[in-house]
Amino acid sequence: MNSRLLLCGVAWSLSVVPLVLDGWVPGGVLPPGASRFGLALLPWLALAGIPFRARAADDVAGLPLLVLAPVPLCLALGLDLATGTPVAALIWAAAQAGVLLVGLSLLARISGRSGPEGAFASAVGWGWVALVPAPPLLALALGGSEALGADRLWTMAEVSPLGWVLRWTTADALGHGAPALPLLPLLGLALLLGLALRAGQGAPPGQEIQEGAGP
Amino acid sequence: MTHRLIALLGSVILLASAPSGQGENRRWEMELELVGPLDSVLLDCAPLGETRIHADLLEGERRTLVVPVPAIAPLSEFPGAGSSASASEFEFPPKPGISAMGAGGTARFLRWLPRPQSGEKIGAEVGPRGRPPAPRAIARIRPGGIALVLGALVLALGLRRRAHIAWPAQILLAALALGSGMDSGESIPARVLEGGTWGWRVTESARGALPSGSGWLEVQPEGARVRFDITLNPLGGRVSAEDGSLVRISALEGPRPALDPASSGGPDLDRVWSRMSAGADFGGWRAHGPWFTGEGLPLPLPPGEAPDPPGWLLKGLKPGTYALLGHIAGEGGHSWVRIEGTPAAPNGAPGSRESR
Repeated sequence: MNSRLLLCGVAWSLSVVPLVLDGWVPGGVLPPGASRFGLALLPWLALAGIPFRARAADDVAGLPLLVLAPVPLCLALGLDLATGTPVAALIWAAAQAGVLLVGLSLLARISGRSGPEGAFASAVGWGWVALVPAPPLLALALGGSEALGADRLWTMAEVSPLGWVLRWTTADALGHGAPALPLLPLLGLALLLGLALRAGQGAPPGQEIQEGAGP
Repeated sequence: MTHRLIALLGSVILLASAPSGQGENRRWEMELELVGPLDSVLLDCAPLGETRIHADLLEGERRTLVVPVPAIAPLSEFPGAGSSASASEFEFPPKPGISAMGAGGTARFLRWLPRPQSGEKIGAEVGPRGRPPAPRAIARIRPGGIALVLGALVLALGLRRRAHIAWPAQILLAALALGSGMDSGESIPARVLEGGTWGWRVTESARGALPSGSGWLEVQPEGARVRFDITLNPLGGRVSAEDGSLVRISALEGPRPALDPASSGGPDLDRVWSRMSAGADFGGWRAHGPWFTGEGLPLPLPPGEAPDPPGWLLKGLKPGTYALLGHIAGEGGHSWVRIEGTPAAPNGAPGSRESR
């Protein structure tokens, strides 16, 4: 199985299976009050931007994450709607999710098409680690620290798109109104895209893979 | 017929004039005699609601039981109502229409039970208190939604090399998926165990339905129809409100949380706040860390390190008295404790013993 298809399967399973089980297992499996849309979005955000490279043309199935994501995400939006989350908050959250998902997919696509060599290509990979998975993981690791309060830890986590969306899954977060503009995640994403484009300019033309390949 | 009209008119007037913050009780109890064979009994209190008794009585089987009905008594809220031996019939609700379903079985009204005690007076007269907001309804995916999402996956895999077809198809299916969430109309009940020197009571609120139980029952919006479902074998039931939420205040039965600051004998609390009745911290709320069974009350956290208690939990607490608030760990995240004027304050603080 090619690695990209596997990635799609993982993201799809992680977003759909908990939603289905939650309604049909007595007592549920997801935290009450947490936005189902936020929970379903997390795996897609985590995996959409991974800047791994295709090793051969056969390894590229032509199935972007963005094709598979809409159905599970709309299913989750429907669940949030059914439990009374304000429509305006969900529309705004969905718009933010769309921008972040497209941005991360674009990042993976650009970095997948560029050559492996060069300082910029390396910087994209490390930048993705530093700006996407690292902030929420660091906040989680520091969770027991008494010096840092919960607010500071959340501020740290919300630098990442993952941490930003994770906040929506706290108790009834979207029920209190539309989320704020994700300035820091967008800035980080813009920085990574800039680096990826710069890395792509330095790549030898022969290493560019076919159109539509994606990450 | 005239009596029913007068009763209904009285109910409407009382509903309109009920003081804000306390609604009308929608749970009266009546004694009923059932004689089998009987499948079920319907007690119709239209337009307020109904009680359905799933009896399953065999021929010759006879049961006398007390059942709740979602009625309103026109004069139930007037001072002195029900206390006089010559009480008017308007102090009790109009009799519901009784329909017995079964070949030859009967259901007969015997009497009304005494007027329910006002919700705010259960346990003691403690005045109006904030009630827990009804949690949001539970939603789950319809079976059609599961089929749709699986179909979308198969389609996406089948068309994975034809993105120009796969993308519009997925968008179309996504639009259909938006309507696949199913609102059960019900929520996990939220509850607050409320104690003091006067005793203990529990206030529960839920959207849609609550398990069967005695006590003062209110419904929001007040016009919502209420339905009691009672089963006899085994004895149990539930109460539900159509498109509404329920609040029930009742005396706490079963174990009472022994939240002694020296050693907790109550449930695990993941958030705790306390307020001294005197001393340097008089009047201010102090947040504590999680408080587990068998442990002493943790020392207060520095200001700003923990969230404030929710506003509804503070509402109605008497100023200047020792109070302890807590959020019970687990239990769906909607269970709270509210204690005012307990005999002992934490850490031997001055003014630790007081009574209301």
